[in-house]
Amino acid sequence: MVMRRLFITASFLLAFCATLLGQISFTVKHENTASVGESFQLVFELKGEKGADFVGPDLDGLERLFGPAIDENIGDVITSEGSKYIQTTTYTYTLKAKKEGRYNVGAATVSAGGKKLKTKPFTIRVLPADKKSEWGDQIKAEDLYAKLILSRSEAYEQEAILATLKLYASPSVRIREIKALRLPDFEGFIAQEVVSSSVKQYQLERVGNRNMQTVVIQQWMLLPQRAGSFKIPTAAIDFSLAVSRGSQPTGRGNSDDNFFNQKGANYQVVERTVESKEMQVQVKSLPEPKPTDFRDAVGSYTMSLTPPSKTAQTGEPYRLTVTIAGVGNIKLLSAPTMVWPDSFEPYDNEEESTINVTASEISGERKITYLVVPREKGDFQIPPISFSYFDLKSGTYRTLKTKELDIKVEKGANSDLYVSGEDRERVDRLLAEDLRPLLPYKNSPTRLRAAHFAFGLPYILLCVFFALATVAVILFGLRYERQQADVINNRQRRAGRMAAKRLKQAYKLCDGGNPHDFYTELINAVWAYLGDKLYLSTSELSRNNIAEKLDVYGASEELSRDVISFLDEVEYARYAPIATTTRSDLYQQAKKVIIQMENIVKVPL
Amino acid sequence: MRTNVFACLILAFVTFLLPFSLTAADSPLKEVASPMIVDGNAAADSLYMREDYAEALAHYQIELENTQKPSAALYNNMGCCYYRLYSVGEAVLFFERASRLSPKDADILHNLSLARIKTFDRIDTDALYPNPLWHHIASFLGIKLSLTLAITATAFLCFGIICFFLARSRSWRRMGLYIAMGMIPFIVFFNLTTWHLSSAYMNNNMAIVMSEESPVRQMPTGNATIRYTLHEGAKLRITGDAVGNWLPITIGTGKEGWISQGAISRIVP
Repeated sequence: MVMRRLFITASFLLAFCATLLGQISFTVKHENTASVGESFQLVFELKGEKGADFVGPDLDGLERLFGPAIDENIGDVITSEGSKYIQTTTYTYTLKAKKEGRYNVGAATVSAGGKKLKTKPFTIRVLPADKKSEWGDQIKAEDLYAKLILSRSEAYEQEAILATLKLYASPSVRIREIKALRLPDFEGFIAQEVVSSSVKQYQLERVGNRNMQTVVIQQWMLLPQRAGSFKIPTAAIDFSLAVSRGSQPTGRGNSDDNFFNQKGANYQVVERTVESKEMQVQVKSLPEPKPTDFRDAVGSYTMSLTPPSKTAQTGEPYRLTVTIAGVGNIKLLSAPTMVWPDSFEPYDNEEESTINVTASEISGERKITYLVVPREKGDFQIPPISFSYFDLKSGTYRTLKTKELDIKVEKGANSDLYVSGEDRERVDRLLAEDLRPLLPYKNSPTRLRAAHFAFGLPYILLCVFFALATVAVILFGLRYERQQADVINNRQRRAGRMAAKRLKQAYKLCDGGNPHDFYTELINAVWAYLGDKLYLSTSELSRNNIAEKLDVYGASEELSRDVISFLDEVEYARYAPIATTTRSDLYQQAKKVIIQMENIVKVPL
Repeated sequence: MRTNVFACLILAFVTFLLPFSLTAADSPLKEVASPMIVDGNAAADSLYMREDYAEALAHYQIELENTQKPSAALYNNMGCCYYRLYSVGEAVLFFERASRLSPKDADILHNLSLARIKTFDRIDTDALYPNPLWHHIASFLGIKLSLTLAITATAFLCFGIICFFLARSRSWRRMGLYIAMGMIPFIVFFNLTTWHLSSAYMNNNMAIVMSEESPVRQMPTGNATIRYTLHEGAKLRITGDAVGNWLPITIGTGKEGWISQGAISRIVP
């Protein structure tokens, strides 16, 4: 009994635990105390369900350094019923107190599982800081900041703008390490990073009336892609820095020494984030009218043609290389359009560029190799290649042109290998359509089943089966036919003999005896004979059917009439009160009909 | 008499049904790629969508190494990557491999002809077979249709023979005889096309040129006269065994020669 009760209680407890695990909870984990200037974390944890509409607590004057950082994960929790997945979401705040005292942090709310959940408000006591932590507060905004410097705020489309992300720090601040860099997204531009070979170095710079330590974090060449007004969002830099003890963040003469001659014991590590200001860029569109062969090349360029071979062979690739070199948006240069004679089949160009991005310009060259295969022999003239660009210095368009080219196409050794008359239209259509989408793997064949089946064992077996089945069907059919024929033959053959027997029986009743019995015997004998002879079943025995069958069997009309009239007569005699015909007459008639039929009706095939 | 006609009808029905019951019985044999492989390929597919073709290809290559029986789709999709990476030879090779497994797939055929446009050599691929016209007719029909028609014709032959022996009326017997006689050329024809296609599949000795340019020589030596030059992506037929590093090949009657083994890849891996 006790055991049973215990068991019940235990199972209830288990069930309770299970429901607990299935339930949604929203709690806060926090420290009860903190000290001034020290960062600490508040963690709000939502268990059991995905949350939405998280509203942070009232922080009561505590400084928020970071957060809420949302972290979602699904954990495996082992219960008595096996493991279970539980969704957990944490919202983490990193906070700092500036002054000592008691802070009442309010409730955070979140909606999950169709309900609004709240945490309990709580109090944090902030203790006076250790002496050290005061040092970090000495850094003021003008002591440490970042700037995104643009070489120009107004530019043409495709005109390079140099963007420099620079960090400024007062000499008293010693940067230990850049922890994270959140770079802006240069929307509307193509950004090419300036690769500097030198190591990042601090430089002293005079800003206003102060000396500042500066360092270039990163540089880009920005190529505006379209006209309009563009915003470059802020860049943020997270780093840790060392602040010297007792330093006065003013531009003192000996600050240089101060910065570099720190002793380990004299500074403290502080973490900071600085953000650059948002910048505005105005992009002008290129002047109209543009030359017809203008393909967005902006800068200053030269074009050269690698001396090409004057002869080509049919069926052999022929290459023509053009190099465009200079300063500007080289990466975006597209190949000048070539007009080849019809019998020259163009292939994909081979393009190669070498780009050198420096803080002053983007320079380099782009080598474009046109690839064609001449298909017919003869002398051909290739029209000049023309290339237009917008010259930034003069603000005008310039067009470069190569000389005309004469190519002699000779018959190549391969020429007789080719199918003549490639359908140009079909080729263009195929190229325009490009590749088809990727194929799904499901049910994709891994072998050609029909080929494996053909002439294999199953195929041979199938053929054998066909042959055997045909032979079997024929044999069966023939046998069945023979049997059927036998049945009919036998009945018909025996009909006369059977009728004779039955007539003999009737004859015994001819004199005396019951006249009714005689008629019955007589008519039955005749009906049975007709049935056997004409191959009719009992249900089919009728005067009409008999007449029809007799006709089919080729009996004369007279016989047919005789048979029917005999049947009528017997039927009549059977039920008539006074006999008009004697019994022996009827018997003779029956005999006569049967004999006649025996003579005429032959077994048909 | 009546039962006889009935028997004939049943028989005809059964013989007609046979080819269909056959394909139905064959279907459980259909080999479906395992779900694991499908998942692995999904990653590669999404890389392809993001136009990271080199990375997608690397994924596909891992899949290819891990599968015993690569599917037509895998070959096709790898071919797409090669095409995008401007590797014409590999693109043609992989589309050819895909097309061998699924010869009537319109997408694969389209991709293959697109890749062929990018090759320099315009070779008649039908001419690679000893009898180009015959190959053209057979591949136009396709092996599935050839086989089905061969079996159906056989069924009709059987039906005709049965009619000839069992039909009661003379006209039916005559009809049976005509059907049976008429089916014989069809049976021969479709079996021959099936034979051609299935042996072309089983003993596929076609190869694709992989190197940018490869000379085809008169003799299996490096200094023999060059008969002609094949370029990347050209299709050829290997006609015999290698002599040293040289394989005897042809790209059509009268266009035989020897090519360096390293310059080509066989369609059957």
